[in-house]
Amino acid sequence: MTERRTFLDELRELDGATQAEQLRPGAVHRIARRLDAELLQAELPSRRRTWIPMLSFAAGAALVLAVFAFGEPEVATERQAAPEPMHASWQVGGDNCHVTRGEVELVLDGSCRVDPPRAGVVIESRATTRLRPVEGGVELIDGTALFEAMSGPEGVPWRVEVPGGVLELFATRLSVMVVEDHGHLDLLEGTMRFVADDGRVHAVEPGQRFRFGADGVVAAWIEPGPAGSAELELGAPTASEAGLDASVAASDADVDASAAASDGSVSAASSEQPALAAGERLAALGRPSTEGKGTRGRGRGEATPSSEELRRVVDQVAELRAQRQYQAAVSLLRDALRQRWDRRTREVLSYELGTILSTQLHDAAVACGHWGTHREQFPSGRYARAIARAEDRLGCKER
Amino acid sequence: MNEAGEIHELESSSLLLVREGAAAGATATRVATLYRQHRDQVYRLALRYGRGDRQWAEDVTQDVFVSLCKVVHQLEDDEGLKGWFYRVATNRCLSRLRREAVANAPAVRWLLGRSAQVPENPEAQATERRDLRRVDQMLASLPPKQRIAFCMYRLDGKEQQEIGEILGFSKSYVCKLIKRAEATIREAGWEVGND
Repeated sequence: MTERRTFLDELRELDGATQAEQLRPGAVHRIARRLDAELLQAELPSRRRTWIPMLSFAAGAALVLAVFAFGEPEVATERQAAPEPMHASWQVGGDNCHVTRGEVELVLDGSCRVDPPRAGVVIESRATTRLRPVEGGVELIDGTALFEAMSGPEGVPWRVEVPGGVLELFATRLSVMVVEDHGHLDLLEGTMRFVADDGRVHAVEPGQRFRFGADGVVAAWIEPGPAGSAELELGAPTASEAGLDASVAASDADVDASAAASDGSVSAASSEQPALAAGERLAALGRPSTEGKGTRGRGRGEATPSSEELRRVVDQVAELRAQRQYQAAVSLLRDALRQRWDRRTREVLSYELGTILSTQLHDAAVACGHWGTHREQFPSGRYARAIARAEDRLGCKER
Repeated sequence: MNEAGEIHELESSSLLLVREGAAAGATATRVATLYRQHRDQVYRLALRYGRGDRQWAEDVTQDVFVSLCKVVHQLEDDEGLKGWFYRVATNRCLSRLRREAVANAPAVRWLLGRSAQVPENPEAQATERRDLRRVDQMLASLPPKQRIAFCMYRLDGKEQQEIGEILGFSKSYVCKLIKRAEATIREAGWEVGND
């Protein structure tokens, strides 16, 4: 009988034995705890969701309170979040200096002295100048500035970005002028080089004038360089540039004869634009290149002071102006004018003296007197128009 | 303490079942009720396909009720959930069996450096009757899909169409599975019976 049982019979008997089974108590407890955990886990998202509107309401209320209590918190946040401009740490001073700090630019107006964070670097400007601090240097966007840069740490040069390239300064003192997309520099002392945008490197020697431009045309020559025509082929110089060149060229010639010739050329130029910024005139006079002129002059028996003396005067006046000791600068210039300089030098020194009296000391009476004397000595001088404007401002005719 | 008393004590200690009493949420109460009503059904079904392995069946039971917790919001008629538990439990068993079949494949064992793992079955070892052990071994030798389809068809009396719906197979495929299982049983010298 047993052997006749089918597979299904045996299977049902086997299955019947399992159908009497119950989940063991331990398993009941274990599975129940697991289900409880699952239910808790499933409820958590819904609990979180119930908090979302509450949190949103609380955040909104806090924002409204902040707006009414403190005013424009978003703006404050933006201010805090925005990085400070690089020029924030640049110190700018000067009695007649008006500085405008833009987002990235520094706009200097008047006689300003800028002290970047790097030790040994001083920037002076006596006209409207736009600077933009950059990493390891500054970009001269427009205007004229005098740079004094000591050697940086580990020989890293101070960089002055100009149209067409970068000036790398090593213990240098130089004047740089930039007008739109071109300009020039006058290296007074020290060493520097010009690294053009195309990678070419030009070494500039003290006493050299170096012209640069965004068009890549560069030129350098030792003052006095090729007369006017050579410079003009690189582009029409500004009136101030022409005045600077002419002042040096004029001092190179015989006093009276060349003065007349240069007066005419420079007057035409100065009639278009204002004269050179203060300091630059003196710097031009004090260049080493003027030494040759003085030597030739003395060779003709003229008792003019030496070029070393002129340079000493120029340096002292510049130093006094930088220190805001304008009265001392006036005294120094007056003493210097008592010496026998050539006509051009005397004209520049005299004009410098009048400028300090007018713009720095604001001594209208003395300034008007000085300008009157100046016009008598240099009746058709290069600064005639500038002097006329200064007299108008001071009201010299009414005095 | 008898078994019923022990169960009651353990259930009382369960956080799930404490909730059931009073302040429990509606979902927890509903799950607890369904757990009490269907846990043995699921367990027995799993015990069948797990060849009497209690631990194996308990794991399947837990999986089924964890699935219930995730979809209980979508289930409406608690009275008609017997079919749902049957379907889910069967599919859980099928999935486990297929996974174990793959893991016990000779190639996989060779790759993993393991010896053949035959599910330990103390109940089967305790079976006094030799024929029942042979049946159990015969059933275990069938591929999982054939085994389950055969049992659903022969033991539970399910129609092939219904089996296909539960397992996600077509009716013809279910028919083929059943026929193959029966053929294998016959090849082993058994008479299937009840044709």
